[in-house]
Amino acid sequence: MRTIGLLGLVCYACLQLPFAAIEAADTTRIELPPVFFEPRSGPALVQTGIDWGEIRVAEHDAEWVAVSATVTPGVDVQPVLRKNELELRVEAGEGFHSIELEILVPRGTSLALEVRRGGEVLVDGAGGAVEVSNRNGSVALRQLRGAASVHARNGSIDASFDHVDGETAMAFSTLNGSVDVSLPAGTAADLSIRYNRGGVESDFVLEDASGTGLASADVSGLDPRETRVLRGRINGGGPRYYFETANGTVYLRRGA
Amino acid sequence: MSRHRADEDLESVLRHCADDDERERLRRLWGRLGALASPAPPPDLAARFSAALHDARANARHRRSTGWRLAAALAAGLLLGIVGTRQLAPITDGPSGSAALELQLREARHALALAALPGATATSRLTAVTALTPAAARDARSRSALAALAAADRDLNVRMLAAQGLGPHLDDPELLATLTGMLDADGEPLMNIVLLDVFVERSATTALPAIERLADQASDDPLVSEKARWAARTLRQRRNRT
Repeated sequence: MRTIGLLGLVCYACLQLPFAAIEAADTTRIELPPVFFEPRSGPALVQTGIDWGEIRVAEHDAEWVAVSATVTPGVDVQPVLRKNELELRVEAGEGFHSIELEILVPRGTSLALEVRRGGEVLVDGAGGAVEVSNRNGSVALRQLRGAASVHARNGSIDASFDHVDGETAMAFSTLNGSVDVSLPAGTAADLSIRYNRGGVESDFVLEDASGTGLASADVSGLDPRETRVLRGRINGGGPRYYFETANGTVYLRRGA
Repeated sequence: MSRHRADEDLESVLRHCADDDERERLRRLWGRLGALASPAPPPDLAARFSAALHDARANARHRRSTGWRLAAALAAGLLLGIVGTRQLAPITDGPSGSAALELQLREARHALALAALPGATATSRLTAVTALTPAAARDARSRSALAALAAADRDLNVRMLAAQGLGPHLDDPELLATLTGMLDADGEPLMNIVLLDVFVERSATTALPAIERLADQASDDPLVSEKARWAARTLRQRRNRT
């Protein structure tokens, strides 16, 4: 346990180093002109990926995408629009670069966001599908109204849904960190939860629960290297929701 | 049978055998099915698909960029989608319409899943994987599609779920070789954990050399090495017992 704590401390310190560097470095503010999707070209998608830094996305009541960024010298952001898909291409030279990307999108836009080295992803409102990958750092998604597939290799996932798409599967996975997902009380889904070290805490009653990781069961006799698997339905069942963490706890919370 | 006639039959059966929610869900599904395009497949379809799959597997032995992962999954998914939509059987007549309709709706859902694979969003591909997994027992197209996604999708969750969906079919040596290759090729620790679980669950002792290689490597996460050593030991014990 002490070893895990020490490892966590070392990881945290390593993750903080780049951000200390960005604070010390000069930064530039970039504002892109508003980007409009091609009319009637289908559901809109905004995608972007950065190495280091932070991606923040929120919705606004407008038909365009607004992008601003705070970057270290040598970084540029180029919008590439293909009908209903906007790719924000972040171009950087050699060496360490960091970027804080702020994106405002029209309601209902889908998102595909990636942090390849380390940082944070924050989404405040999304009515479309959300796809997030973060190698080192946490992911926080609030006021979602569609579906999501989220992976954080070393970091926690915190997602709360105001509404879920009743036909679409979702997945939340992390290697080291907790998975904390809040779903509307009436959500109907087939749950599949896998974890190695940690546990499951659920506000929902799992119907027809089966597996080796039942929340109420004593799993102390199991080999810690064996993955615990818990399956069950909530509110009669529906699309499959998949949760996985190797080192951490899965929290399922009942929202309003 | 004409589309119009099929719509009428569907309505008739639904009136007698489904509640409001089920009726609405099936009607939506039927509407989406009707909207699918079914272009004629080119004559070299099978050869192109085999080549795409072969390339994807060959490339999987090397560390890959997310670009080709997506491209391979999309190419395989698109070709499979075209085949899937064209192979839908017409809706049946007769007194056993309810059972036949259920069967055909299952087929429809399956075809929709294949057609959805090139979808731009990860959640649409996740949904396709969950629809293809139960069909994989009886349908080689589903197994091929799952293999392509497990090897090449850019979204780790899609890859993990597809690999788990292939678990029950590891008696197919080609699939086993594909998943074993992924253990060497996929650098994500969580994917390695999923694959190790699949191999142990299915007692896939032929995967032992790849598992032992993983156990000997310095992994990004100590749990992976630890788990690989445990999986190798467990499988060796099972092999010795038999």
